[in-house]
Amino acid sequence: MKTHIKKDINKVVFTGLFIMLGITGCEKSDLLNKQPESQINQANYYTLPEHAESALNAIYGETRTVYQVVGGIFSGVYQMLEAPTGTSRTESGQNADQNALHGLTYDGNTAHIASYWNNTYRLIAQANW
Amino acid sequence: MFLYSNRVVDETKKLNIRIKDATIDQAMLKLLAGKSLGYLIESKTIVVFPQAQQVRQLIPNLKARETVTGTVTDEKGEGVAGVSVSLKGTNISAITDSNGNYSLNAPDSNGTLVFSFIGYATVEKLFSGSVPINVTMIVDNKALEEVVVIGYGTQRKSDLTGAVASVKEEQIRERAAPSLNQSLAGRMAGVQVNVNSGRPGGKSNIRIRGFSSINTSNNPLFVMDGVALPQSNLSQFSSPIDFINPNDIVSVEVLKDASSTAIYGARGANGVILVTTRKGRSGESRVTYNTDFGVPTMGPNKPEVLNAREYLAVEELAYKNMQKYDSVGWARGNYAPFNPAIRRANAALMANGVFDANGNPLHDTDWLKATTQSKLSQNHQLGLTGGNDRTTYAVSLGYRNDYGFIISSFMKRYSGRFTVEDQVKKWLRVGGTLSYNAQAENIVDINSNIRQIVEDLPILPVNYPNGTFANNRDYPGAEGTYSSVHRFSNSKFNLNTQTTIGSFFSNINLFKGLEMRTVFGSNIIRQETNEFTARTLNVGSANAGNAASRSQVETFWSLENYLTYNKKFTNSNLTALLGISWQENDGYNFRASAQGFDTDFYEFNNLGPGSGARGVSSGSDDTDFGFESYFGRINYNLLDRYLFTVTGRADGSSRFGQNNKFAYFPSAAFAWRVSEEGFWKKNDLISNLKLRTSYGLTGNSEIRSYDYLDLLGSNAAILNEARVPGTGLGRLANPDLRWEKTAQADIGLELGLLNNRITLEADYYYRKTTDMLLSAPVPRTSGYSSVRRNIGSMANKGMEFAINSANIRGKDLSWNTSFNISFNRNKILSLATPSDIVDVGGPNMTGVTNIIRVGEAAGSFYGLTRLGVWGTNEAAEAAKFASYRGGGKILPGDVKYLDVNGDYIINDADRGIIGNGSPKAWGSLFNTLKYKNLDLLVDLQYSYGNDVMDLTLHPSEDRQSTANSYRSVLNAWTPQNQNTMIAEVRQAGHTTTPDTRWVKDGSFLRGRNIMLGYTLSKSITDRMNLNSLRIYTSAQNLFLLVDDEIVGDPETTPIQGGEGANVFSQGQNFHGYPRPRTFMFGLQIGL
Repeated sequence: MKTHIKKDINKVVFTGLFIMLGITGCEKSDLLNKQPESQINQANYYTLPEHAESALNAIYGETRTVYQVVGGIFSGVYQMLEAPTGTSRTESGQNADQNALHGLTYDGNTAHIASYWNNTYRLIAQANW
Repeated sequence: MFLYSNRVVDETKKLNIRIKDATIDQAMLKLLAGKSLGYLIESKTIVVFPQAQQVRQLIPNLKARETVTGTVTDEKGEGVAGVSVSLKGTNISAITDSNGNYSLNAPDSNGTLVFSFIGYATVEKLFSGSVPINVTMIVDNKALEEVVVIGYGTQRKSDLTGAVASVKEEQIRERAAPSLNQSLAGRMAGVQVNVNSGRPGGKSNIRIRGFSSINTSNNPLFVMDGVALPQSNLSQFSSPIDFINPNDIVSVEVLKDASSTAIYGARGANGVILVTTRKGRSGESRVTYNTDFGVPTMGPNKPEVLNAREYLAVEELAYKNMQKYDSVGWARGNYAPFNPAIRRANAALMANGVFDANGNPLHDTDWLKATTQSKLSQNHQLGLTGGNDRTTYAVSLGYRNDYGFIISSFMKRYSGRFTVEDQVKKWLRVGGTLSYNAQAENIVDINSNIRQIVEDLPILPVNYPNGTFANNRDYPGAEGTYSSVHRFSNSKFNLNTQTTIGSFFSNINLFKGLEMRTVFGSNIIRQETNEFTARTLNVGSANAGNAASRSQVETFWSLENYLTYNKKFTNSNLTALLGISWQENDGYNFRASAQGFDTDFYEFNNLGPGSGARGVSSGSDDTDFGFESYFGRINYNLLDRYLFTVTGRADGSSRFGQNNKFAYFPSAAFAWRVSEEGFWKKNDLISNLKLRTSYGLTGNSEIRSYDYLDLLGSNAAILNEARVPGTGLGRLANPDLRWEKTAQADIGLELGLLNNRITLEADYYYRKTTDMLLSAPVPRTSGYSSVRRNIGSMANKGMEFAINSANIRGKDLSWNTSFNISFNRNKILSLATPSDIVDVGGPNMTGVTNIIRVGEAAGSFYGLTRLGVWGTNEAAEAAKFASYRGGGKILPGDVKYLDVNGDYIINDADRGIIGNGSPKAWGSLFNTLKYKNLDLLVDLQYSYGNDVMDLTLHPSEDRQSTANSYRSVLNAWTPQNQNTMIAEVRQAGHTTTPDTRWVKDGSFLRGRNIMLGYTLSKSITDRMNLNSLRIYTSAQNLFLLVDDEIVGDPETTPIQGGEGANVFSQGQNFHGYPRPRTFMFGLQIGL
C-alpha cells in the first residue's frame, strides 16, 4: 500500500508539472494579443512632430499616385485622353479596357476611368486626414 | 522456466542475490529465504507458490501430460512466427518459433488448442494424443477491426461515427514520390489532390470536399504525430508537408466530416490530415534499405510548335496581311521594319550564320529538346527499428537527388529522424521524436522561362559559332528578349528549406481508465530564397546583374494536455476526452537585393558590390500568431450497435478582432451498426452494414495576422528634389473580424459484402460556409476602397464512393481492385454586394479570366464566346461592330464573337461563364495482382467535366510573328480556309481575350503508375543472409487520354498559381513545368 501512495505522488507531481508548465509558459495575454511589430497603426504612430510631417508628405505622395492609373497591359494614364480622341493608336488590340477607349465604348467601369477617380478620392481623404 | 502467479510474486520486491556454482535448489532456498513461499521443480519448470497452498491445487494433473507439436503456416504455406498457441480453459500456452513450429505440454491427452495472431483469424483445433496438429492461419479480412487515428486519440474503424479515410504504409510506398501529397493523390474519395507541375517535388494542392473560402486558405490542416504543422508563408505557395520525407510516414488519416474535424475547431473547416510517422517496435531489430532510380522523359501531349520553314512562311503572310488590317499605317510605312526581307538581312544575323545568302534558314532548332534532360535521379532510404518490451526506437536516414526534366532544375533532400519510446513506469510512458530535413531546389518555372521554350524562334541556333547564346531579341521586332536555354543556364532561383521537427510526449495512467497525455511539439522552418540573374540577361542596362536573397524563419511550438477516460459498463462503453492547448508561431523574414554588378562571379553570395542606381535594398517583416484552445469529446457505445459522439472546441486566436476573441465549435454524430442487431440474420452476403450521420460547425482561422487592425500605409513624395517618406492612409480597422464558419452535415453508409471481401463506403455531405471574409466596398469618397468583413457564403455538396474488392484470394494468385469516385458541386450563395468579384484566378493580362458570382460555382471561367471568324460574305455585318481591335474596322478574317445583347459592341455585357476548372467527378482505379512472387499494380487516375483554360493560346495562337507559335496557326483563316476558329494571321492588331476558344474539355484518364515487382523467395534471401528482397520497375504518367485539343497536362495551374488570390486558377494552363513520363527501377531490402 505504501508503494501505491508513492506512485500516486509521482503521478500527481508529473501531472501538475505539465499543467503548470503550460499555464506559466504562456500567459493568456501573450498568445491572444499579438501586436504587429513590423507595421504601424494609428494607435502607436503619430507621437512625434516628425510624424505629423510624415502625414503631410503622404499628401504629396498621393498626388503622384493619382496618375498611377491602372489600365491593364500596354496601357496607362496617358491613354485616357489620347485614345478616345484618336491621337494615340494601338497595334496590340489585346487590352479590353484600351479597346473600349478607342472604340468610344468606355464608361465608369473602364479601368482607366475608375482608377483615376479612386486615386483622386484617396488624395482628398489623405489631405483631410 | 519459472511459473508463478502474479498475485503471489507481485507482493515481493525485486531481489538481487549473488550466487556462484550452486545447484538450483541452493539458489532457490537463498532466494526465498524468509518469504512465505515454496517452490517445486517439475520437468525444467520451477513453480513458486505460497507455502500454505498445495501445489496440486495450483496446477492440476501436473504429472499427466502430453506434448503436442505442430507447425503453423500462412496461406502461402510459409511458417508464421510468434503465433500464440494456448490450451483452451487453462493458462498453458506456447509461441511458435521462426519456422512456425510449436510444442506445448498439455496436462491431458485430449483438449482444444487455440491459435491466435494479430491480423489473422483465430483458429481452434481439437487434439488427441501426440498426433501433430498443423494449422493454416488465414488473414482476417475484418478490416472493421482496423484501428484508425482520429483527433487526439485512436478508434476502431467499426466504432467510427465520422467520415475518415485512411491510407496505409504500403499504399504510400507504391509511388516513389518526393512529397506526401503526391502519394495521397487519388487514394481517398472526397480528397482532391492536384499535382500541377512536373517540377521535382510536385507543387500540389489538396482540397477536401471542395472550396470553402475565397480570401483565406483552402488547405487542410496537417497534424503530424499530434503536432500541428501551421501553414507558413513559404515560397512558391508550398506547405510545410512538402518538405517532410514521405518515407518516414506510415499512415495517413483524412478527417472529412464535422464530427471528426470539430475537435480541431477553428482550423478544421478545410478538413484535417493526420500523419503518423514510423515508430520503433519490440522484437528483432530490423534494417531496411530502399532505393530507387528514375529517369524523366518527354511526357504526353507535348506542345507542337512551328518549325523554321513554317515559321518563316507565317511571318511572310503576317507581314503581307498588314496592308489589309491597317492600310493607313501600311501606307505610312509603320510596318516596313517587319518586312521579312529586311528582318532576315540583318547584318548581325548574317554574320552569325542564321540565314544563307538567299535568306534560307540554316537552323531548325527544337527548343523543347534543347531545354530538357533525361538524367538519372536517385533516392536512398535507410531505416532501423528495434527495441524490447519496454523501450522501442526507430532511426531513418534519407537522401534523394532528383534532376528535373528541364535543364538546371533539381531537388535534393537530406533527411534524418530519430524516435524513441519508453515505458518508464507501469503508469508512465514517454517518448520523443526529432527529425531534420534539408531540401535544396532550383526552381525554373518562374517568370516567363517556360513560356520562352515555345516562343523561341526555330530559325535561331542555341549558340552562335562564337559560343554566345542566340536570343529572340537578335531577330528584329521579335518578342521574348532572351532564349530559354540562356535563361535556364544563366539564372538561379535556389530554394533551401530546412525543417526541424521535435516532439515529446508523456502518457500518465492516473488510475484505471484515466490517462493524461502531454504533447509538446515544435517545428522550425528556415527557408532561404536566393535569386541570381546574370549580366548577359540584362544587356546594356546600368542595372545588369541582379541578385536577391530572402531568409524566412517560422518558429512554432505547441503544448497540449488532455485527459482520456475510458469506462466499460455491462452493455456499453464510454470514452471521454478533455483537453487544453496552447500554440504560438513566430514568423520573421529578411530580404535584400542588389543590381548593377560588374561581374557574375558573386551570384547571390555577396550583395555588397551591387552598384546599380538603387544599390542594395533591404526589408524585413514579422508576423506572429497564437492560439489558446479548450476541447472535449464524448464517445458512447451502446450494445456495440448504437454509437454516439459529441465534440466541442473553443478556440481563442490572436488573429481575431478584439470583439471576437473566442470561437466555439460543437458537433454531434450518431452511427447505427445495423448488422449487429438481433433481427439481422447473420449472413455472408451482407456481412456488415453501418449507417452514420453527423452535423457540426468548424472554422477557418487562416486569416492574416493583424487583419483586424487599422495599419497605416506608406508612400513617398519628392520635396525639394529629395525623396521623403509619407505615412498615412492604410486600411480600415474591423474589431469584429473573426473566423469563417462552416456547418457540415454528413450521411454515410458502410457496407461489407461476402464476408467483407467487398466493402463499400458512401457519403453524402452538405457544407455551408458563412461569414466568409471579403472586401466589402465602402464609399470611394472615404479614400478607402473596402474593408475586410465577415460577409458572404458559399455551399458545397457532394457524394463520395469508395469500393474495395478482393476479387481473387488464392494461394498463388490474388487480385484486389479498389475504385473511388467523388462528386462535388460548389455554389456561391451571397457576396458583400450583388456584384461579381473578378480579381481572382490566373494571369489576366488580356482580361478577366475567372469570376465569383452569386449562384455560380466559385472561380468559374469567364469570357466571351468565340463563334469563329468573320467570313468574306459577312463583311457588312462585321463592319457594324464598334472596334474591338484597337480602333480598326472589323473585317472578314477578324475574330467573330457572340454579341449577347445585340448592341454591336463587344464588352463585358457579352461575357459570361464559359467553364470551370473543378471536375464534375474524379477518382482512381487501382488493380493489384499478385502471382506467386510477382506483383503488378495498375493505378489509373481519371477526371470528368473539368475545363482547361489554355492561356497559352494568347501568345502562341492568337498572336503570330512576334515569337514562335503553335502549329495550329497553320489552320488560320485565309480566304480559302474560312471555316476555322483562328483569325487571319497578322503582324499586329491581334484580337485576344479570354474566350471559349481557350476553354477545352479537360476530362482525362491517366496511367498514373504501372508497377511490376518481384519478391525473391525465402530460400534465396536466406542464402543471401537477407530477410526480404523485392525488385520493381515502374512507369509514372505512362499515358494520358484526353478528348480535346489539350496542350500539355490538363492537371495544371499557371506559374505562380495554386494559392492566395490565385486559388481558383486550377485548370488554367500558362506555361507550367511540363510533366514528364518517368521510368523507375527500385530495390527494397530487409536485413
